Amino acid sequence: MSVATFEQIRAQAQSRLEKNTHLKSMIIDRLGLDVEPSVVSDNQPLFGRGLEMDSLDTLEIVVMINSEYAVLISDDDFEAFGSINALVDFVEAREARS
Amino acid sequence: MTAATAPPGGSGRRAAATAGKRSYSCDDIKRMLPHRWPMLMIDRAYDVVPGVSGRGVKSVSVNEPFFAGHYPDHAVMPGVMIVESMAQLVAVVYVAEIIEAAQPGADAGDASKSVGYLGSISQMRFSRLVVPGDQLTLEATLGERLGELRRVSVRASVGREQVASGSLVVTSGRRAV
Repeated sequence: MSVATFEQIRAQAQSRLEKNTHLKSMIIDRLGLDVEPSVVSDNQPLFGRGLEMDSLDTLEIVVMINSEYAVLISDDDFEAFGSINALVDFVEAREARS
Repeated sequence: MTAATAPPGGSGRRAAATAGKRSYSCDDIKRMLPHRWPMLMIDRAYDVVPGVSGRGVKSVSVNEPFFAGHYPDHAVMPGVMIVESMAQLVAVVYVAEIIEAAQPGADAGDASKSVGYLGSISQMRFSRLVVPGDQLTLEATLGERLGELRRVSVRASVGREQVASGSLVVTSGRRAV
C-alpha cells in the first residue's frame, strides 16, 4: 500500500479548499445571498440557522450541481445538503463512481 | 381523454402521427385542470410528451377580462398572465403523466386535484407586447425534480417572435412551498 507524501496531502487539502470556496461562491451568486464566501464555514448547516435556505433554494442547488458537475441529486440524497463539506463529498463520490 | 397528436392548427382528435406525443382539446384540458373562466389560460395543448415537455396555444381575445383594466385605452396582456398561461401548460404536461400512469378509464378529474402551485419565477424576460388578436404559442420543458418541486423551462411566442422566456418552479401537490 502506498503512503501519501506530505506534498501530496497538502495538494489534496488545497484542492479541497478550492472546491469548497468555489461551491460557496456559486451558491451565494445563484441564490443572491448577502454574505461573503469567507464567512460561510465548511460545516455550517445550509438549512435553518445556517444559510437559512428553503426548499426552493435546494432545487436551485440541484439545478446548479447538475449543470456544473453533471451530477444529479435525488430525493434519496438529502444528506448532501447537510453542509458545504457534505455537498462536495457527495459530488466527489459521484464523480469517482462515473 | 383524447390522446392523439395534432398539428397546432388541427383538431385534438386526429389519429396519432408521432409516437408518444399527445394533444388535448379545451374540453380535455378542463378535465385535467381545476382552472375555469376567467383563469383558464390555455386553449389547446399538443406535442405533449407526458411528464417531459409540451406545446400549447392561447388565443388572446379583446374580451379577456384583464383588458378592462390593463389598460382601458391601451390593451396589453399583463406579463403575469402570460406566465400563468405557461404554468397551465406545465400543469397539463404534469397531469398527462399521471393519466398515462393511471388505470384505463380512470377519472381525469381526480388527476386535476394534483395540480399544485407556482413556486418561483426566475430569469423571465418579456420581449414583445401581447395584444388582442395575438395567438400565443407556449412551450414547456420539465427539468430537475426534488421532492414535490420541479424546475421548468418555459417560452411563449407569437408567430416567429419570442414574447417571453424563463424558468419556473412548480409544485406537484397542494402543499405550500
